[in-house]
Amino acid sequence: MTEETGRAGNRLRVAKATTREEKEAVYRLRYRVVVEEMQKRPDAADHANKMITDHLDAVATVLYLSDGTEVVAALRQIWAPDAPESHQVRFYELDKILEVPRAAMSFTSRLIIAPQYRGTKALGVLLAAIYQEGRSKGVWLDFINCAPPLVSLYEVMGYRRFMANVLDTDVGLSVPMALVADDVEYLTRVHSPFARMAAAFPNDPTHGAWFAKRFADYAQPSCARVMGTDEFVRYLTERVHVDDYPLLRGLADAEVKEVLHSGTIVRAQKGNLVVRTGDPGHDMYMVMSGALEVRGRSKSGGAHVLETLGKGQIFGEMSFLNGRPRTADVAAMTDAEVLLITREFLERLTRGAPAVAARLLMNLSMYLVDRLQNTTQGLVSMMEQRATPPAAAPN
Amino acid sequence: MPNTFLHSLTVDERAECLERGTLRARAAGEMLVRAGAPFSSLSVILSGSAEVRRSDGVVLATLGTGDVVGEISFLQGADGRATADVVTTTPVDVVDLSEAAIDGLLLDRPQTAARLYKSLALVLARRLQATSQRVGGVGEAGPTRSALAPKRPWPGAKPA
Repeated sequence: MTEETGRAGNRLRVAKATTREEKEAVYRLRYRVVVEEMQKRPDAADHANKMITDHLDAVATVLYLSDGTEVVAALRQIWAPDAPESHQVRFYELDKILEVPRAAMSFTSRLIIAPQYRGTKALGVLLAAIYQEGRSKGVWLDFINCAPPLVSLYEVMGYRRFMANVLDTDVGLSVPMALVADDVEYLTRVHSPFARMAAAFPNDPTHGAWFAKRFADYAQPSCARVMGTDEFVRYLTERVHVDDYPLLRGLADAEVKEVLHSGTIVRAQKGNLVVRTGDPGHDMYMVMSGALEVRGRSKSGGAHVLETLGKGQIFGEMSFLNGRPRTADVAAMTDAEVLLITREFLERLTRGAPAVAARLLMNLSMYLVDRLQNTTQGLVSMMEQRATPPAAAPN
Repeated sequence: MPNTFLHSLTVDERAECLERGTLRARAAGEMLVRAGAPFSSLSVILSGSAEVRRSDGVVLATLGTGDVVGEISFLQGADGRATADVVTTTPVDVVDLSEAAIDGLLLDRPQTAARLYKSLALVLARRLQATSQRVGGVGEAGPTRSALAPKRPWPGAKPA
């Protein structure tokens, strides 16, 4: 369908998986990335054949990207009339959206990109193809469900939040988003690559107006690329007073803006697990409002509260620093806003503005010293209360 | 020396940091740091080993090649006081990086300074995690406490 030049100069080709061989190649790519690379154990995994597939694949359009020798990326789209009712209700509360005909809706999922093609054109090529696939069926409302670090990426494509976050047993906290595929005015405003493609199809401006009104509660975008730099930084600086944020101390105004600008706001509802033990994740979070609880899991499976976090405090720093899976759960005790800071941003900052990166990491170290001292005090007094000698034998 | 302070730096970064420091050679049984004394440099053990000891002699942790000493008081700046004794158990070579040395690194080699602080943050994050898990372990009655005890315990006793 489309051809692009790949990383090694190979031609990337998008195709629809129709044969059994093609479909199985896609299922194997899913397994390689999700189970072998990300170390997840989804229900749909078939470990004997090293594939991930479920009953929805039978009704989905599966698109894949090939570099000539192997499948390097894939995703699938399910047209709403073909999807089981339970799926629609569970993930997207479509029982509440009765005013849109089912034939105008689709669900896009299982996006997988092989490591060497991340950050390349592969994603754009695949999304463009699936956009056209949906529009050619008359779809104008597409749904996806994504992990918080990907929210800004989908916002740039033109997707918007429209309902509360959900907790997906496979992937942890997940943010449902919707694309009004023929809202040319909005797509143009956020510089979505779909804006240009929309011209090839009939577009109805009332759809965009309906969406904006219907889901006004979720209208606030989460990242600077969509909100516009000035507006986003204004939104954050109104809420962020540097004194409350140990991470930002000693930074010049322009540097604070740079850090805030790189972030994505994750809006968690009371009860949401923002970070889950064992999940992969390279991002650090800074609490902007609300209260969250850090919970450890013991080997026996019990959970105990390790700390309560409020404004200015940081969590997820361990995986941010060492790239390993999460070692604790973090749950929102109230509705909360947290700013997600990615490891890629830190790497970029270390190359481009290393003195700012050094200050940020020094601040992080000082913050950790404070927390370490508080935690240690807590431990010492707990041990004194129990009147047991501190178990501190050296190894 | 996986998981140590030096381990997270590349060979070049290590050289750029360490060449700014002062090398001290210590015999076995000498005090590297005294609890409660002002201590404002970051010290890195190049060879040998040392013990972190509480005032009553209880050993809190053992340190070896690549480990850092004095990071908490270093980060606290002027108010910094060592929180425990550190005593060598073998002959030890240690490099002291003064505040001025690290300020110099920030000016001339900011990228290396950033990596150094990242490495420091990682050491602290690990210790915080170990300590938090111990708090959790104490909170849970029974034998899980020893199972949760970190490899490098650091309950950071109050200075005498």
